[in-house]
This record gives sequence, C-alpha cells and structure tokens, in this order.
Amino acid sequence: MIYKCRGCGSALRYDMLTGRLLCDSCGSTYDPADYDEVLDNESHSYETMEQKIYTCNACGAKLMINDVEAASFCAYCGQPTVVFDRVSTVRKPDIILPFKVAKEQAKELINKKLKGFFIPKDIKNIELDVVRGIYVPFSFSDLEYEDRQVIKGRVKSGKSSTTRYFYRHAKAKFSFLPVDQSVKFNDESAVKLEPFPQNEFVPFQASYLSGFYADAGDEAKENLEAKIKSRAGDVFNKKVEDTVRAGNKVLYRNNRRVNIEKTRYGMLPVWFFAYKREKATYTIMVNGYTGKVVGAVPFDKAKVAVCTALILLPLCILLGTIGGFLFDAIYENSDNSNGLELVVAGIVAIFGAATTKLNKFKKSRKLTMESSIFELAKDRQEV
Amino acid sequence: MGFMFLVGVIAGIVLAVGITMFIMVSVVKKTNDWGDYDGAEGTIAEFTMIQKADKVKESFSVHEKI
Repeated sequence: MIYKCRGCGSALRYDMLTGRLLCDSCGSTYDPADYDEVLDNESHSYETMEQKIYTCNACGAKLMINDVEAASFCAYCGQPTVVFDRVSTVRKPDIILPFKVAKEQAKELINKKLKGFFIPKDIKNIELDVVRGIYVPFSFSDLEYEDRQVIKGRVKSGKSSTTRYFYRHAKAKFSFLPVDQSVKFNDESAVKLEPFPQNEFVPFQASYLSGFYADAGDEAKENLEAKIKSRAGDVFNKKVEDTVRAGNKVLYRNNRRVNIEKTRYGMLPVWFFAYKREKATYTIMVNGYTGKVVGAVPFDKAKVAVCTALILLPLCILLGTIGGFLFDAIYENSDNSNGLELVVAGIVAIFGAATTKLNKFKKSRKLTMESSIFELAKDRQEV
Repeated sequence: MGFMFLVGVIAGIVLAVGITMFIMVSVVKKTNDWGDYDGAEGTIAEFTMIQKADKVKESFSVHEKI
C-alpha cells in the first residue's frame, strides 16, 4: 500500500525511527493519524475499508490499492503490467504492530545468522537485496477453555508397568492468543515468529502500511475458529498433562467447552526473504518488531562429514575399549545383572534424543521450504 | 570372556555413534535452524484445576461427570 506526499506527490514510507510517514523526495513528514483521518472520511467506514484489487500479470502479485494511488505499474516488480481486478471490501484491522526493525537491520540480522560454520559458501554470499516487509494478518482472541479429560498412561510398579487412567477437570482463561489469518502462511511458521509484545500494539491506521505490503486475512471464519480452539487446546492439554505422573501419556477421552469472548483482527510486521537453491525454495523470515530470525538453511555436507569423523573416531576408540572391559567385568561378576540393562538403556536414550533433534531440524527445513510461504514472499520480490 | 569383550566393544562403538550423532545434530541445528517455538503459554491468564482423580478405571466417562 502506498500513500502520496501532499507536497510533491511522491510515495511516502513509514519511518520506523520517527514513527512518522516520510517523503524521501522532499523530506516532508506526516503523522500517520492525521493522514488516515482524511482517508477515513473519504472512503472508509469504521469496520471495513474498500480496496481496489489489482493483479500484476508479470509476477502475479495481488495489490491492495486505495483511491489516492495510481496503479500504472506493479509496486512489487516494477512492471507496467497491472490490470484492475475488482473492488473488494475488506475488513479493517482493529490493531497493528508497526515495524520497528528496519530493512537494513533485518538484512544484518539474517547476514549474522548466515555466518554459521556449517552453512554452504553460496548461501553465505547470497544477495539480500530482495527482503520484503509484509504485514501478515493475525487474530488475537480472549477465550475461556474448560475441559474434562481422561488421560491414559503407563505407571511403573516394581519391574513391570501397568496402564492407568487419570481424570482431570480444569479451566483456563486465555488473553490475546495469536492465530494467523492467512491461508498461504503456514501456521507453524507463524507460531515460530512469536512472541509479539501485546502492549506495543496500536489502533490500526492504514498509513502504517505505507511502503510495505499487506495481506488481507483470507481464512474462513469456521477455519479460524477451529484454529483458535486447536491452539488453545494444545497449550491447555500440555498444562493438564504436566499434572499426570506417568509415561506414554495419551488423551484418552475428553469433553471440552470453549467460549471465544473477543477476537481482534490485527496486522503483524514480518520481513520475508525468499530464494532458490538447487531447485528447492527457501524462505527466511524476520519478526519486524523483535528481530527474531526464523528459518532453516541447508548445511555444508563436506564440513559435517569431516567434523563427524573427527568426533567419531576418538570416541569409538575410547568407548569401544571401555565397553569391552566393562562388559567383560559385568560378565565375570554375575551379581551385577543390571549393568548390561543400564548400558543398553543409555544407548537407546542417546539415539532417541539424537533422532528427536534430527526430526525437529528436518521439520524446520521443511517449513522453510514450504512452497506457499515462498510464493507469498516471492510474489512480492523483484523478478 | 573374549566374546563378551567383543560385544562390549561393539556396544561402545554404537554408543559413540549415538553420541556423535547427538553432538552433530545439536551443533548443526544451532547454526542452521533459527527461531525455536516460544509457545503460547504466556497467553494463559488464569488456570484452575477443578478436579483431579488419579488411577481411575478405564470405563470412566467424561460425559457422565457433566
């Protein structure tokens, strides 16, 4: 979304340092609240706002444009291939968290992360000119959650373990629970970007979007409600599960009541950087307020192999020798029958922990390579 | 005796592989994977445990209690 300078007609951008709209051509600055007041009187009602939706034939971007903007070219790719699609009435967000991290800072933060030892050279030297600031639609809900649950778990008694059932009836109040409202934006990636500080949100003014891109919330109402309940449920269930002393805990039965009291529609600032490598696509994101970087990049296989060998060889010699003598001693001292069990349990535990970590890393990479997020960001980058 | 020594050596090597895998995955994850999940636990303003009953029977129904 772009606002024009009242002085010279150039595009204004929201300046994070001063908190004002700044014209780079003539240096004029405007208070976002003043600017919006005029626009609100001209074309917007309180709850909704009319936006002209343009489509760029070159990059496929959907542009939300208001009356004051001329749409002769695509603001994303610069091509004069923009065609009018429709006038759409979109819900006006209630709150917004303005960008605090500037584009240069976002690039610096990503660059710092890209200095890691195991990151391949070509990624370390990647061009970060195409970082895009996008306001992502979120909903923030206050709700009451009550659930009666039976949790099934295994309890150890002596050398054997038995299945037990635990009843829990609990109630929780959630305040400002965030859930993303964009269909294209992966829910797990959205969660990773958190936290967004609740007390820094301000009432929505469209001028905050100036110089950035904004996506309208396109999640259907019923899907959104399901997402809110599911997110609250995950947190609630974990809290309840923590009160059960058992292994292999599973939610066996439950009967819940959820009352969503209030939902605010808000915009969150996110810097997106999308790139392609070996036919795979990756998207790195930066929380536009806290500067938290989210993403996973491929690793340098040669470096990982060398380091693995350097650790593995001495460990094999050391633990192999110790293991040999230890097993020999355990065998000779037949009273110590628990020794072998302990060693085997230790091996299984270490493999389990390593596999869990590996799976988490694989999952993160999968999220970073999510095609829908890549498209969301790439549509808004220079081509 | 010789056989148990060999078994111990193999167990030691397996353990070494596990430890190496754990170390390498941890280190690579730290350098190449950023942004751990922070959780929404901070959004719980109030939590009350109304009733607790441990070791109930399998046939227990949550619906019966309401």
